[in-house]
Amino acid sequence: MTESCLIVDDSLGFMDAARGLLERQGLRVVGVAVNGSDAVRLAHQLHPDVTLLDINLGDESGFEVAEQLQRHANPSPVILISTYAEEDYSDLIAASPALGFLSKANLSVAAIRALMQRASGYRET
Amino acid sequence: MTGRWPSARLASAWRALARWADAERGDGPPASRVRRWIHATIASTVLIVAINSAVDLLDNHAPVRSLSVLYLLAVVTVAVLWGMIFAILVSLVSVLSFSYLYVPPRGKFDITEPANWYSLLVFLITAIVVSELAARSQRTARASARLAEEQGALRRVATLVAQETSREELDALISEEVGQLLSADLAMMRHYADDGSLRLMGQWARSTRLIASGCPAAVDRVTELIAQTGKLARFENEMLGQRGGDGATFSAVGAPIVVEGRLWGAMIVASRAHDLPANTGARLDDFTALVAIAIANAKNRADLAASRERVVVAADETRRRIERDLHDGAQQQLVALTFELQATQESLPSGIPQVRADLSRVTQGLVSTLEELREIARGIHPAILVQGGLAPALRMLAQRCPLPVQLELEVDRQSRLAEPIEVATYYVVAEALTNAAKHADASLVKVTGDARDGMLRVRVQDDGCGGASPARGSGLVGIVDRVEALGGKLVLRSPPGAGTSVELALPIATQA
Ligand SMILES: Nc1ncnc2c1ncn2[C@@H]1O[C@H](COP(=O)(O)OP(=O)(O)OP(=O)(O)O)[C@@H](O)[C@H]1O
Ligand SMILES: [Mg+2]
Repeated sequence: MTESCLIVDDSLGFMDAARGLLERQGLRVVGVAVNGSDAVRLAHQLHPDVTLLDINLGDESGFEVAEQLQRHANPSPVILISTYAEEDYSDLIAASPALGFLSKANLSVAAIRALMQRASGYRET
Repeated sequence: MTGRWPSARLASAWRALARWADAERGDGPPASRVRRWIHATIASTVLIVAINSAVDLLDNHAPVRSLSVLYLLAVVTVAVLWGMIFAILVSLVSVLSFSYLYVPPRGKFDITEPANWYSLLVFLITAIVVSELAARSQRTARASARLAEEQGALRRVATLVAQETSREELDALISEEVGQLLSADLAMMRHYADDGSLRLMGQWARSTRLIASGCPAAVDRVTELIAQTGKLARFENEMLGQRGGDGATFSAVGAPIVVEGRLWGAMIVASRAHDLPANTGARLDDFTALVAIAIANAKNRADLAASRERVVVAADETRRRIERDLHDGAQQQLVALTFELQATQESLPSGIPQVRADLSRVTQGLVSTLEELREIARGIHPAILVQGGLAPALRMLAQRCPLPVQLELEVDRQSRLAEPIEVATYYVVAEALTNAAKHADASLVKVTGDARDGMLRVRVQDDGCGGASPARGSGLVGIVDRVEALGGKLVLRSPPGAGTSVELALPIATQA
C-alpha cells in the first residue's frame, strides 16, 4: 500500500529533500504547503493519509495549525516534525491533537508507518 | 501657682489676643485686611475704655498726670499686634481723651498745655519704636517658620527619593508639599514630554471636588506661558473646570522646573479665593528649584533602569534571532544533506562496500553535528519558550535536570507573560537547577511559582549542602542583573547545610 502524504514546511531546501526521501521509500507526496492556510486548504482537497507538519512555520506555530487541521470533518492524521528534539517540545506535543512527533533527522517512511500503526492500534483497543 | 497667677493669666490673655490679631496677618487679600482693621478698632476701643475706668478708680489715690502712663499699655499692645498706624491713632485718642476727661479743667482740651504735647510725643515715640521692633521680630519669626516648613517639605521629598519610591508617588508627594506650603487649593506638576505633549505628573487638591471638576485642562495658559518664556507666570482669573464644573475662577501661579539645564516641566499652584500672596511666585520658584534636583535624581535613576532593561531586551532579541537563523539555515540544510546522502547511498551499485561504509560514517557525523547544534541552539534561546510560554518551558527544564524535580506552577496556561519576563524567569530556573545539579549534592529540587496581583513569584529550593555565594561564579550574578534590570528582585538563601533557595519576584503586565 502506498500512503498519500501532505508536507507542510516553510523550508524549501528541506521540503525537496524530504519529498525525494519519502518518495524513494514508497510514499506518495500528493501536496506541499508552506503555511497554515495552504495546509488547511490542501488537506481538505486532497485528503492525504497523513500530513507531516513542521512545528516552526515562520511566524506561525505548527501546534496551532494542527488544531486547525483537526477541526475539519474527517481530519487526516498529523505527524509533527521539527529539527528540534521531541524533548524540546514534549509538553506541547502531548497537548496537541497530532498523532505524534518525528525529528527531521530521523524522518523515514518506516518511522511514519510505525507511528500510524501505533496510533490506529490505540484507536482499536 | 498662687503667686504667679496674675502673670500666667496675663500671658494667656495676651496669647489669645495675639492669635486674634495675627489670624490674618500681613500680605493677605483685601477681605482679611478689612477684618484686621475691624479687630484693631474693637481692641483699641476696649483697651482705652478699660484704661479710662482704671484712671477713674485711681484718680483720687495718685497725682493725675502720672496716670497717663497707663495709656502706654494700650499703645504698646496695639503697636505689637496691629502695627504702627493703629498705635499712632491710639496714642492720639489716648492723649485727647485723658486730658479731656481727667486733666483739670475737665471737659476741655487745652491745646496750649505743654504737658499734653509732652505726653503725646512720648506716646508717639513709643508707638513707633515698639511697632517697628515688633514688626521686625514678627518678620523674622515668620521667615524662620517658613524656612522650617520648606525644609520639612524638602526633607520629606528627599526621603522619598532616597527610598526609591515610584515616580508617581514622588510626583504626588511633591505636589502635595507645594500645595500645603503655599496654602493653595490646587497644586500640580506638569511635564513637557519629548514628543511635545504635556503630561500631568502629580496633582494635589485641598478637596477632591476640585480635581473632579476637571481642573488640569484649564491651567493651560500658565503652562503655555512657562513653555514659551521659561519664567514664572501668574494669571488672576483662570477659568477652571469648564466641563461640568461650577465655572469658578482661580488665581494661578506657575514656576518652571529646570532639570539638567532643560525646561522639564512646570509646577503650578492655584487658589480659588484669589488669595495667593504676592510673594507666592518667588517662594514657588525657590522651592521648585530645589525640588528639581530631586526630580533630576529620580529621572537619572529611571533612565538608568530603562537603559538596563533595554540592554537585556536587546540582547535577548539578538539571541533569539541567532537561534532562529541557526534553525532556519544551518540545521535545515544539514537535515536536507543527510537525506541526500542517504539517497546517494541507496543508489550506489552493490559491490563497493567501502564507499557505502564511508558514506554511512559521514551521515552519522552529520547527525551528531545536528545534535550538537541543537544543544547550542537550546542554550542560546529556548525554542519552546517562544512557542509555548513559561509553563512548558519550565517543565522541559525539569525533565532535563538530572535531579528529581517537583514542579508546581499556578500560572494560567493560556495567558502569556511579556517575553522579557518569560525569558528572565526561564534563565533563573535554568541556572538554579544547573547549580543544584552541579554543586548542591541534593536529592530533590522543588520549583514552585504563581502569578497573581501583578507579580510573578518563582522559587527554586534544593535540599543540598547550601553555602552558595554569587562571588564565586558568574551564574548567580548574571541572573540577579537580569532580574533587577526588569525591576524585579532575586533573593538567594543558602545557609550551609540547609539547602539553597532562589526566590524570584517580577512585576508583570499580562499580554493578551
Ligand atoms: N544550589 C547550590 N548549592 C550549593 N552551592 C551552590 C549552589 N549554587 C551555587 N553554589 C555555590 O555558589 C557558587 C556560585 O554559583 P554561580 O552559579 O554564580 O557560579 P557557578 O555555578 O560556579 O558557575 P557558572 O558561572 O557556570 O554558573 C558556586 O560556585 C557554588 O560553589
Ligand atoms: Mg552556576
